[in-house]
Amino acid sequence: MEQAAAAPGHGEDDHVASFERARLAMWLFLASEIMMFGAFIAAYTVLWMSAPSGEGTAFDKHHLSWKIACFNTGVLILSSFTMVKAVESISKGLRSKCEDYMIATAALGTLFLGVKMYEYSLKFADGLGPDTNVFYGCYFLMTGFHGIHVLIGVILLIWCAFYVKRFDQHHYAHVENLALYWHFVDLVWIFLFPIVYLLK
Amino acid sequence: MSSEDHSKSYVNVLAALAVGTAVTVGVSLLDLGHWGNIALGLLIATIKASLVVLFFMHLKYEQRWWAGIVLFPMLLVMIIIGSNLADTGLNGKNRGGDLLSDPLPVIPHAGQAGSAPAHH
Repeated sequence: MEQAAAAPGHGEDDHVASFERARLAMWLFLASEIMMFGAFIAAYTVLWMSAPSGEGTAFDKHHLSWKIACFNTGVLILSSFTMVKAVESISKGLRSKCEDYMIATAALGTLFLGVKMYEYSLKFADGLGPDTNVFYGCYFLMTGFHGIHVLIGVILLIWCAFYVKRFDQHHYAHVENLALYWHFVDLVWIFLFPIVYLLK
Repeated sequence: MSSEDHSKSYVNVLAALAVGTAVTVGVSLLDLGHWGNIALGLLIATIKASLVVLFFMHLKYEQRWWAGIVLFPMLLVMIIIGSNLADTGLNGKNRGGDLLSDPLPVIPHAGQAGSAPAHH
């Protein structure tokens, strides 16, 4: 206590350093996430390249709707924008605006999950499931894991919006790190969309 | 991360991501050849991902060495994918193994080559 009193401003330096450490830790966590989704994509790529391409093959994608996936891509991109605006708002001390943007992001994430559930229901109605063939095994694994990440993000967003009073323009590491996580989820989808739905 | 006002860049990135998504779909509907479609699709995805990482995730404003935290695992993933491609048939366009239908090769144990398997 005496040391802190003897060094005015030292607490603020500590805070800045801890904020930076928190972000660095989040980036390291995201690096492990890159490896996890990277392993899925690597396995998918090897299986994809091992199969002959075209209709009637294991990787025949004509049952997938790229239009639904494209809509969901737009939803996630927009949610990334609202999330970055939430961080910008809290960095200016605008709690109410930050709360609004976080709720908007959570709503867009929920919309994404709803559309994904609808897409899954279409597949199940057609008799297509994770055990149909190697492609649908990969499809449900990759989009399912991604969906779980979105769900976790939505839960954390609601939690963060609920406790928004705890944050201000100097203390918003939770919001910043949640934003990093949310953008990462968007980033994974940016690769999954062409790889799974578009490229033959 | 700097505390400068990035509002305009956020809107620009949002617009670029929307255009990039439309271009991704448009390109996939064109016939640029098997590898042409794959290369262009992945190139556009990489550009979109870079915009998200640099501007939305603020990596552009962080210490430069932090980029290594993203690039190093991505390099590892590229090595994993690249080192396995030779074992695939590249969609039947190259001579190579077909992991989905080829039977497992018979590999004798060291020291047992040419000898009859032991029965118990």
